[in-house]
Amino acid sequence: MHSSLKTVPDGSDGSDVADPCPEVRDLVAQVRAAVEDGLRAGGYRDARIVRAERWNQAAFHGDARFLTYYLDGLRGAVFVDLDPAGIRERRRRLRGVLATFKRCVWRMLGFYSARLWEQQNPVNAALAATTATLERTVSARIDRLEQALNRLEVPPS
Amino acid sequence: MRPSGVSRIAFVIPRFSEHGTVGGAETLLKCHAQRLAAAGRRVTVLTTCATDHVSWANVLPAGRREVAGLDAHFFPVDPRDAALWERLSLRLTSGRPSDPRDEDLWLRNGWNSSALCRHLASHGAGFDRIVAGPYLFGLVIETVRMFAGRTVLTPCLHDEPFAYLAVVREMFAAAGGLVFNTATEHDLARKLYRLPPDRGVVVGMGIDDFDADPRAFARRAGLTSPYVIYSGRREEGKGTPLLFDYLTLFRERTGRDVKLVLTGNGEVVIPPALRPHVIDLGFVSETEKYEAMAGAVAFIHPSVLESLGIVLLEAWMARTPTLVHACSPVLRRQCVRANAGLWFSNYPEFEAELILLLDQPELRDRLGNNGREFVRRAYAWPAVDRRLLQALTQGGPSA
Repeated sequence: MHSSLKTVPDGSDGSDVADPCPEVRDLVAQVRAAVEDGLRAGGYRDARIVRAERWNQAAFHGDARFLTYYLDGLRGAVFVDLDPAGIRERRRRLRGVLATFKRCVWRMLGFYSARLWEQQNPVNAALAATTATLERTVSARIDRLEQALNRLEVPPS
Repeated sequence: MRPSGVSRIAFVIPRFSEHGTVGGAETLLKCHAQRLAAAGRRVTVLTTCATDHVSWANVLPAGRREVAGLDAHFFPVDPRDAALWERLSLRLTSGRPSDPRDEDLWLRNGWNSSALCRHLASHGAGFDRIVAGPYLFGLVIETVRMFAGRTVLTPCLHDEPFAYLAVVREMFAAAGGLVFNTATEHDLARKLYRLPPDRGVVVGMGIDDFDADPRAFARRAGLTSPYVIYSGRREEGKGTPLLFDYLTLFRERTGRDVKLVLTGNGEVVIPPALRPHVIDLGFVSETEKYEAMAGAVAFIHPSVLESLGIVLLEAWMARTPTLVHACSPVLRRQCVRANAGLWFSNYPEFEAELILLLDQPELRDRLGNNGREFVRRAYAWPAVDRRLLQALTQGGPSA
């Protein structure tokens, strides 16, 4: 996952805060620093995290680096999970037997489903890689444009 | 508190219920109405026969009656083309410049009550002030159009695409007075509509003092595991699907048996893995809600569209710290002001912060007590009453 995950600033001027140095600001800053370390160390390289972020639309729009973090994780989540170990049975009655039966059926259908996944997985991977590349390219371009704009806007000394 | 010349006040509120809560904005306006009536003002509530924010079906009988100690008049909601409204909503929020004809059609197929507006046209001049809100309702926009100068708009504004519509900008410019819930909401309105700095008053809502037994709910429910709580509408706009996915993953990744308690209304689609660990109380009494809050490790509010977050204040009064989404400037600022809550931008931060609160009960207690002191200081009714009085001095009977 991207190591430089920039998160939304807290935006409070603190002018109406009784305590000028609220503990919560420090706590959140510590958490963010720890998360950045964790991202660099690969501690959040987990496809389940990508799936859990699908509803985090606000961060997509409100956090400049969220898309990078998300796409990095998406690369690890693009392949269809073929492992039958994840197959569960919700009904309590004969749960173990039914779950085993389902896994057997899944394995037997491997000859059928393999053709689907062999075609789907490369498409998923290509889409994720293309999107990530596009995002990096566009971000770099925007950065260059902003720098040029800043140079134009700064009054000559 | 008797603002000179302001004794007859109408409240135009799209939904109004004697019991329970139909919505945060509606609850806020109802509280303001009750406070003014208790202080001797003649308050009349003009509202619709609908209670549900999805169907807007006319379920309450039309007519005049006393509700929650107030003189309330109920009018039917106009028939509307909901499918057309949905299509227009998508078009208007697409980011492209909006067509005034689309805005007008969208308004006319929103939530209107011709009967209420006719009544207001006949009787509006008899009120010193008309308090109307929240902002995204055709009947509120029509109220400001009819009696701009004497209307005090309580918008409950969010930074959402609809806030950028021309018809909304016009309404803010025309309203005689503006009442905001937080300084953050006020700042947003000033930025969006280029309001002068002295336009509008931040009022908020008072929270009555209460003490809730933190062990009562767990005892009643037979809970032995720690739990977090969410109170309010369950819908995508409130971030509840995000909360469910985050908590499901939290349980999987950390192995911690944290339960989720829900109060409020709305259909819930809970991930199968989380379902056995959710205690959905639905609508409960205030006492039950406060007791559930008091025993929670944290109150989690994943919504980014809030103008006040009344439930946050209630959680803090119950001495419970909060976890909010960092993309909500209002809730984030409240957490800083109160020194009683943390904010997260993504799952890793959510996970780390919830672990922090689970593992450090002294931190939880400290943040919770900070929250309670903050609410008592900033949201006591005498302070809110003073600000409400100041807000009513805005505008005048020029329309």
